[in-house]
Amino acid sequence: MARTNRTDAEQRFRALYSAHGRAVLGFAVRRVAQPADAADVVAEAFTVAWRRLADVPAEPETRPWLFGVARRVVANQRRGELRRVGLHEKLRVSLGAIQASSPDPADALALTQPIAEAMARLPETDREVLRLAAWEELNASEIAMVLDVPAATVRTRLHRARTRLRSVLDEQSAATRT
Amino acid sequence: MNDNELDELIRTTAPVTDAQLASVNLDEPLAALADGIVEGAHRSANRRARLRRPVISVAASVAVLAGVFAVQTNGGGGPAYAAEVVAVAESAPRMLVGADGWRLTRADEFTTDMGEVTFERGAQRFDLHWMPAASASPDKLADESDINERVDVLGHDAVIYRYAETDDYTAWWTAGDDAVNARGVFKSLDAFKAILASLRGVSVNEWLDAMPASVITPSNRADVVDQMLIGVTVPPGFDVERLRAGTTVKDRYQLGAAVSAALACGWIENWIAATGAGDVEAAKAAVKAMHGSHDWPVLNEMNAEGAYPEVLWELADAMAAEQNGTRPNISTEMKNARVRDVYRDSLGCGQ
Repeated sequence: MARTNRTDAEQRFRALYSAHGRAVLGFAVRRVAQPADAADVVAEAFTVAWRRLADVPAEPETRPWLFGVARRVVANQRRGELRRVGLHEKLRVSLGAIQASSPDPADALALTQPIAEAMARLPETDREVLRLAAWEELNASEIAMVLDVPAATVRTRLHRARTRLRSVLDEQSAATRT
Repeated sequence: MNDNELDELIRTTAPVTDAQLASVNLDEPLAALADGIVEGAHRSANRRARLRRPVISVAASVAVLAGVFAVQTNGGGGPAYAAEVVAVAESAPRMLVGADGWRLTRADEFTTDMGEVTFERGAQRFDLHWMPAASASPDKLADESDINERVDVLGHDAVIYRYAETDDYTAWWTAGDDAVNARGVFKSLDAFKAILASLRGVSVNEWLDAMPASVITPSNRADVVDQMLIGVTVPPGFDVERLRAGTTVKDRYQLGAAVSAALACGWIENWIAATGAGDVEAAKAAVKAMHGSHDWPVLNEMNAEGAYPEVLWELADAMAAEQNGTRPNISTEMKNARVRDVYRDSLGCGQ
């Protein structure tokens, strides 16, 4: 790679990392067993982004594209190799502190239990569109990019998932009253 | 509970919040990671260049809007099905799964250009998507797949990919002007190859016969249109005869979308015209009528089946917000769009 091109590429990479690094980290940390494992996902996802910089779409599609890559990294569980390289050991250590800074787990459980139970009763495809909409605040077009399905499919899935979730919550509520 | 309230509740299930992340000093470790990626990549650039797979194609994502409900009317067709449906079928790569126990369970999103059908057997799913070959983008998969195997599918040269270390298989092939994508989670590559091998090309009638009942339901259009107009507010200049006299047959949901589109497009166009003319009263009347769409029976019936009503209601809410000079309290991309810029595509006006 010529020096000029390398510098241009590096600047572009650093710009997208600066703009989306924390969002990808947020996406990852909510989808791994331990917060520290999110470091592996971020490292792998951005390594893919660097390697495929020419394929990374322009804004506003950049973030959903990165989430799509991160999502596959989570699914693929191929993070051991990077861990050995030690690119992101500092990040792992820092993320390890997150559990300590979490609110009282018992309180959190009490707050979220009915909705968590209701979510658990939905199919995984429903849960993920709901999470992407609520946790990551993505719209249907962005969710479509993450999941690699048509936007119309996401609209339908999202609508059905919300309908199903309301129905489950109503059932829970009725069961509690009786 | 509206969508925003539901999202707020779902947000409480996040195992880690952005606020928690923000409470940890991550600037330095994130910067170190970026440095590591760039420096490590420079060191191995030559080696990677040799290993990198060729890119098959890069294309814009396929644009599918709410207009999918309005199937295009190209004419032609046989006696058993509406001409517009036959036109879609004729343009589609018509395939059915031949393996035992599989049935076509979903086909609610197709036009003459692209489509998606789902086959199911018990809990197993197998999806077929087709789209213009120029819109296909298998490069992402090719780059990340841990297999790359060629098979013959109905005389076409297909490539099978798999998201690395998962059982999520995808096959891509080109058939005429269409790119076809077959996808499913299977226990092995052989199982995925077996279902691909069982695909068979079928006639228009056999393909349409296999569709779920909801896809094509001939009905008495004029009577159903009249029934669907009960409980709605009709905009000035509404052409009910055009809706009644349509020569095509849609399923009930699609006809409901056409009726709702005629109503909503009419109201929004009245609103735009009134706003431009400075006729505040007429503009407010249009906003009020659209707000009333939340109670239109036709939309509430459709709401159990698909997202068209939701799209229309979001536009109605966005109209009210624009009229009041506020931001709509909605969570989708319409939050940041002007109604006049998106309503035609969103609702399928004029189709």
